[in-house]
Parts: sequence; C-alpha cells; structure tokens
Amino acid sequence: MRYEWKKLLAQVQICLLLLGVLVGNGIWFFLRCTQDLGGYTMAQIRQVYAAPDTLEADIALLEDPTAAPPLRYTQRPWAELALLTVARDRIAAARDYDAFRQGLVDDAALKERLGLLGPADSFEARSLKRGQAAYEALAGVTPEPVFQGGMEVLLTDRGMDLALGVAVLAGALVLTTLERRSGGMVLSRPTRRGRAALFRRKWAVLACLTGAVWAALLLTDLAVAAGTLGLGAWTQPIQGVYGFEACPAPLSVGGYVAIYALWKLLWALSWAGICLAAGCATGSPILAVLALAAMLGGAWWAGESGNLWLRVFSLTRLARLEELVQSAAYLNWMGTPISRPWTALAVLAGMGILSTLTGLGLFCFLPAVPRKFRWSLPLPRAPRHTNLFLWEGRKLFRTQRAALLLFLLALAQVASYVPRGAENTEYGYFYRMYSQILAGDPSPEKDAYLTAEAARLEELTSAFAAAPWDTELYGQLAAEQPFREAQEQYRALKPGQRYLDQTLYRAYFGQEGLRDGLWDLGKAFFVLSLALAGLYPAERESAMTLQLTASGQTRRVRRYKTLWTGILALLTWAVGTLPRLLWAVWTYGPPDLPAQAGAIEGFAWLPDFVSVLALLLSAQLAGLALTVLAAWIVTAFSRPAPTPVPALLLALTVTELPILLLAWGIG
Amino acid sequence: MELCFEGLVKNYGRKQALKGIDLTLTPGIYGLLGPNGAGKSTLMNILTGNLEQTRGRITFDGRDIRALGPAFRGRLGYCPQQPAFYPTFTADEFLFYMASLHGMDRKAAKARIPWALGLLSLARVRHEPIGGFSGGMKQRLLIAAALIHDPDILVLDEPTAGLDPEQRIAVRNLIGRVALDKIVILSTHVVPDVEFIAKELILLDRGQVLCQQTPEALLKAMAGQVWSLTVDEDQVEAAQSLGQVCGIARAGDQVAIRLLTPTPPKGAVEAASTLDDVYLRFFGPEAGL
Repeated sequence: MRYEWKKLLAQVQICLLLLGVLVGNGIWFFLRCTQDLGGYTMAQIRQVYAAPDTLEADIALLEDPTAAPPLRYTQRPWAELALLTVARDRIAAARDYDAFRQGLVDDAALKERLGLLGPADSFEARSLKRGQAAYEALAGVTPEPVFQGGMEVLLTDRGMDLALGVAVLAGALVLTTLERRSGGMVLSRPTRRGRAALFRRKWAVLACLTGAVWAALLLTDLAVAAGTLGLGAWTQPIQGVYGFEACPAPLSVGGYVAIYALWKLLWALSWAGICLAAGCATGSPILAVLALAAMLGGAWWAGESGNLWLRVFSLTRLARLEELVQSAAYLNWMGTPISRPWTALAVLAGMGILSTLTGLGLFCFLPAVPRKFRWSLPLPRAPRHTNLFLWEGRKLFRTQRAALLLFLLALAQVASYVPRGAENTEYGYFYRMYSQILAGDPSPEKDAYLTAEAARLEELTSAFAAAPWDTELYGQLAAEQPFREAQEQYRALKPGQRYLDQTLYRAYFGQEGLRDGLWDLGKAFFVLSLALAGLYPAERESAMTLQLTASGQTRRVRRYKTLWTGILALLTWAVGTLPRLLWAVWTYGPPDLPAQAGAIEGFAWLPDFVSVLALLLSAQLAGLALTVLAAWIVTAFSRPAPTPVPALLLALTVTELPILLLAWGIG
Repeated sequence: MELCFEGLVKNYGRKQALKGIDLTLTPGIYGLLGPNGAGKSTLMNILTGNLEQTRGRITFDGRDIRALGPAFRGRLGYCPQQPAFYPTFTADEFLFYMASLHGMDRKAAKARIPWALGLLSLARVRHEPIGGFSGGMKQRLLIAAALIHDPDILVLDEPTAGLDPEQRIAVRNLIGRVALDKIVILSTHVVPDVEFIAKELILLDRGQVLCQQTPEALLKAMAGQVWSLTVDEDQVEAAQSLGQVCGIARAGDQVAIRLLTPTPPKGAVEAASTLDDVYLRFFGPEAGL
C-alpha cells in the first residue's frame, strides 16, 4: 500500500490540488457563513437571538413611519426590519413547533376523514397515515429557540460535496490510469489474482484518502462554523434548526450531525467506487472524466425530475441528505409507502459496492496495457502535407479528440435548446400582443391606443364587478396586468428610446438566461479542459520532445499549438454559447438592434449611445473572452504537467468550480 | 564538413557527466562505445539540443551550433534511444510530420518517404497506426525518420536495439550505405554493430574520451594481449586468475578459455583479437555487468 500512496503523493501537482481543495473549501464555507442575506448576515441574526425581548417593540417602531427607527444591528432601516422579521419568524418557528406539528397531524387526519386521497389502502392514503403517525410520535419534542445558524449553513452546504468529489476523482484517476498507460501493470501483477490484490490496495488507498479528505473538510467546516456562528446546542431536537421543522425523525442536532457526517463519507466512497470503475474501464483520464461527466449529467437530470424514485437514484441528489429528512414523503413500492432515507442509504451503498466490484472486474479482465490500436475518430485519411501548422491542428482535433468533443458539445446544445419552446403563459401571450402594437418609437397613435385600451379594460373591470360570475369577462380581464406592464414600460421611455418587447431580452439577460449562459460556459470550459489538458503532456509522454528539440522547431510548434488553442476556444465558444442566442431569436423574434439598450429591463443605467446591437455584441465578446481565458488557464496547467491527469484535474477545478458556484448562487 | 566538440563539460549538480570532451569529426561513421553512465547519451543530447552544456562548445564548420540554430538543426538527423512518436499516427503520417518538422516541401517528402519506407521494409504497414507496431518496426521507423530529410549529420542512439539479427545486419548495412558523405555518430553497447562500418571508434568512460582510433589500429594495439588456453575442467578456476577472461567454451573433454593479459600464460597460444576484447580491455570486466 505504501507504493500506491507514493504513486499518488509523489506528484506535486496532485498534492497541490488536494491542498487547494481543502483551503478552497475553507474559504468558501467561511464566505457562506458570513455572506450577505439581503442586508444582514447570519451573525447578526445570532445577535438578535441574544436579545429577544426588544424584538417586537423594535419591529413596531420600524414599521411606524413616524417613529425613529432603532438601528441596533444594521445601518439601514429596511435591512434592520428584514433582519428582525427573519429572527422573529425563526424564534416563533421553534416556540410554536408543537402547534406546527399538531397542525400537520390534524391536516392529515382531515384529509383522511374527507377521503381526499382515495381509498384507505391506496399509496397516498397509506403514506399520509404513516406521516401522521411519525408526527404524532414527535409529541413532546419541544425545541428551544436557540440560534443554530452554524449548523444550518453546515448541513445545507454544497461546497464539501464538490471538494470531496474533486479529491476523490484525483486519487482514482492517478491510481487507475497511470500504470495502465505506462505498461507498469505487466511488470508488477501479471495474473488476475495478482491484479485483484493490487486493486484491493488501490481501493484501500483511495478509501483512506477519501476518509482523510472527508475528515479534514468536516473539521474545517466545523471550525469555521464554530468561529463565525457558533455550533449551537447539539442536544436540542433537529426540528429546532431552521428548515428542519417538518423533519419526521426524532433526532437531536448532534445525532443528525453524526448521521450527516457518515452520510457524506458513504457518498464519497460510492463516488470513489464509480471513479475507480470509470478509470479501469477507459484507462484514460480524459475518457474517464468524459464518462463520469455523462453519468453526472444523467444523475443531474434524474435529480431534477419530479419523480422521487429517479431522485433517489441520482448521485448528485443523494448528496443532499437534508432533502430526504426535511419532510415525511415516502416512495411508492407497489402501493406500499417506504422510507426515502433508508432506501437512499441502500441505493448509495449498493452503488458503491456495485461500482467497486465492476472496477475490480474491469481491472482484472481488461488488458494490462492499453490496446495496441488506440481509438480515434474514423475520419477519412487526410491528404499528406508538410504544413506543420496543419499537423498541430491534427494533433489537437484528432489525437486529443477535440473534434469529437466539439461534436458532443454541439449535440448537447441542440438537445438543450431545440426542444425548448417559448414561454407559454396567458400573461406572456397578452404582454407580447401589446408589445407588438407598441414596438418601436412612441407615437400619438400609440398614445391614443393606450388610452382607448385602458378605458376598455376599465369598463370590463366595472362590468365584472357587477357580474362576477361572468367567465368571459374574467377571461378578458386576464389582459389587464400585462397591459399595465406594457403601458408602464411605454410611459417610462426616455427621449430617443424605442419600445422593446422584453420577452427576448428577459430570456437572454434575465435570471434564467444568465444561469443558462453560465451552464453553457461551463460546458465549453469542460470541453476545453478535456481537449487541451493532454496537449502538452502528449509530447512528453511520447518522447516527441526529443525530436522536436533536435529539429529546432520547439518554439514554432508551441506557437502553432497556441494558435490552435485560440481556434479551438473560438469554436468552443461558438458551439457552446451561440445556440442560446439563436434559440432566443428563433423563439421570440429578432432583436431591435439599432434601439437604445437602456430600454431593456435592468439596463436603464446604460448611456444613450449604447445600442441593443452593442449590448449583444459585448455580451458575446465577454463570453468569448472568458472562453479564451479558460483555454489559457488549461494550457498553463498542461504545459508543465508530466501527464494529463494533474493538468485535467487542476483545469477542471479552476474553470468549473466558479461556474458551478455562480450557477447555484443565481439559482 | 567538420563537427568539433571543444572542451565540452556537463555537470549534473556536483556530478560531472562530461569532463572536457574534445573531438573532431569529419564525414564517416563514428562508433561511440562506452559502458552505462559513460556520458554517451549526455553527449548526444547536447549535440541534439536536448541538454545544455555547462562549459565548452560544439562547432560545425567552425561556427557554434547554438549560433547556427535552425540552420544546424535542419542538417541533423536524430534517432533517439527511446521510442519517440505519436501512437495514433500511421507510419506514413509520422514521416510526413517529421518532414514538415525538417522544413521539407510536400513534393520532396512525397518522393523521399516511399524511399525511406522501402529501405526499412515498412512500405507494407505505412497506413497502420504506429501504436500497433512491433518493437523492431518502431525502431526502423525511427531510423527512417532520421534519414527522411537527408541530413549531413546523423545521430543514432542505440539504433539496433530491439531488432532481430537479420534486421540488425540490414540496418548496419543501410547505415554504412547512407553514411558515405555524412557524419554519423552511432552510440551502442553492441560492438559488432560498428565493427565493420565505423571509420573510427570513440571510447568514452566516466565523461572522458579514452581513445579515438580506427578499428584496425585498435585491433593492432591488441597484438600479444589475447591468449587461448585449453585446460581441464578442474583447472578452470585457477586459469581465470591468469588474466581477464574474454570467453569460456567447451572444447571436447576440456575447456578453452580466452584470456586478456600482456603476459602469455604457460601453454597458451595467441588468439585473434576482436573489438569485444578491446572493449573489455578499456572498460574492464565490470563494464559487462
């Protein structure tokens, strides 16, 4: 086992990555504990908990416009009011827990009595009854209004999952791919039994690494939580932690934290098994990461679905233990309600065991050295030439599989945007209808139309007041709110501005749009990481650096590699980010390019000379600049790396983590 | 055409790998002989630009090769010791790639590559990925790549490693044929590889040139040094102490021992010396281990 540790820890870049993961997680968790929650922080809620007596009086003063606001914790009245309200609600939630619990029991009893959930032996009725029994069993649980903010942040943090995931992936890739690539397995363990013993050692090292990283991350998070927000009262029931009021399990905070910690370890070990299997199956770090990304994509899709069974089989969703215990929802097993946490535990353990056994089988039965004919895209034989620039392109697009990766990215983008239709709500329909009439420069005709339409809607409102049963009138009045919005937007136009239908711009620049844009960049960065991480190590691994140096072309080759990296970045950007723009334009019509961009919602601060065209171009250029920056980062890791593994892991960590965190932040 | 090594020194930290090498090479084949760690690869790596010397210089026709830069590199053909190629490339692609590295145009490459492939019996597999080649095929491809641009200086580091005897002879003959107007530096442990084709042998040990002479001169200097002694089996151990053993073979009921010693042992007859004996004389018995 000592040699397996040496293989792993002798690589400086891997050690730096592991260290970076630990430090990064600590910083991330610190920022989460101290982040602004809308004018106030968790630490300020803690302060309010310490002085609950003045709470109601302070809120009353803050709500009274004539009184001087008592700013005890923040400098702004609105932030103070928000802080005190949140603290009051949290304290009330703990104090009124018994009433809340009884409400759940009574609600279930009422539904049962009214027969709202079908026959008594139906799954719905049985699961309701089971939930009712669980809440009834919690009678006597009386959480005290103690501040549990530290635990609240800890138990819902995703940073630890990411950090654990990266560290485990690093270990698995180093342990499973390096030897097979170098042919070292033939020397060390030629028989299947020997290879099985070697695999056991590798698994043991990876399990130890997982355990060590898990312990370090957990201790770091606990230390940060204790230092910033305190650890709360661990003997209190978990129902006292904000967000866990509806937890049906009779657990203390300490008990839940212990379960949470063990759950994370089990999750990480399952992930380790999956990574080992991927590494053993492919023998290549790039292909292993590609396979794992596809698996995680599937897990994400399953995790986002409404089907509880699909969610319970999603590795990404299984990391969120809190979702399994925050309510009394059950899985339908042929009409019988079964516990979600226990099923999830069985699935997680099963995944870990099955993937580890698969990895063992692959490790023992696959050839000990890479196949002689390495697979590459079945492209037609290119005409022979002596253009070094084109050869470097060939190396990137065929040997490093950039062409295949771009093709897969294009498929992913088509699958993401082609099935996506227009926003199909009644509100949106009426808003777009009015916007079509008002689009363009303001005019007396449009003013007159707005006046007439406002009067018509006024009349409809009066008529509906007189005949509230009239469904036709009610249907026509659905246009009122969209009309008001369009009218306000029209009235708010500054001189020189044109009315713009906001639907397209909301789809592109709105919260959803920005999140989609981030995901698109994330996919593009992923492709760049996979394609470029091995570009420079490939020269070293194949010993071609000797030939390049001897020929005196090292600089020229490097220059061409840089040029091709730029071309790949451009293509990746185009394939990754343009489909979203094309989808938005295809779905909501072309943008009014010469119009002032200040007329777009959220961009009123832009000076008058900035047109919609300039804004769209700037957004595209910003995306391109980020893509080029990502390509530069990947090559910066790739250039000195002896093998693609550390370059790939470092590149993925540095380029993908910010995207994931930002996307979660926006979501 | 003259390639000179002038006071070439290479230090790895405190260890001195080359201790002031002075050599002058003109067209012809030079066999670079020496045990492991003698400094052969270091010398070749400095010549090919893969290592930087600590002191001294290498000149080509009187000009420092570092100053010549690409002008010198373009005239250099290099066959490295380790397999250096892209496994996914076919042999044909690899040679076109090497041709482009050496600045050849397409027409010249198209004319030269079939010649090289044919010369090294690789024409049949020219469209197959190199990753699937045997060790010998890979080695021959590296030699083809070194020859592709008709270089003036050919640096061959263990070019016959991994070849079967037939291929070994073929490659040896090939080198002899193409090297007529080139400076060829051939590093090897296998003395017969250079025995018949080398213009001069350079014996290198612990970073120093022990001698640079023609094979004939080296063999001549061995006169009266190699002896053949036939003894009974129980006398073999005693006979071994009479000199350095170059070979032991059974001769009927007895054992024939080749001994390297300036003093003829009693009952011994002088034997014809070979370059293997020269090697042993200069590098001692431990060179064989």
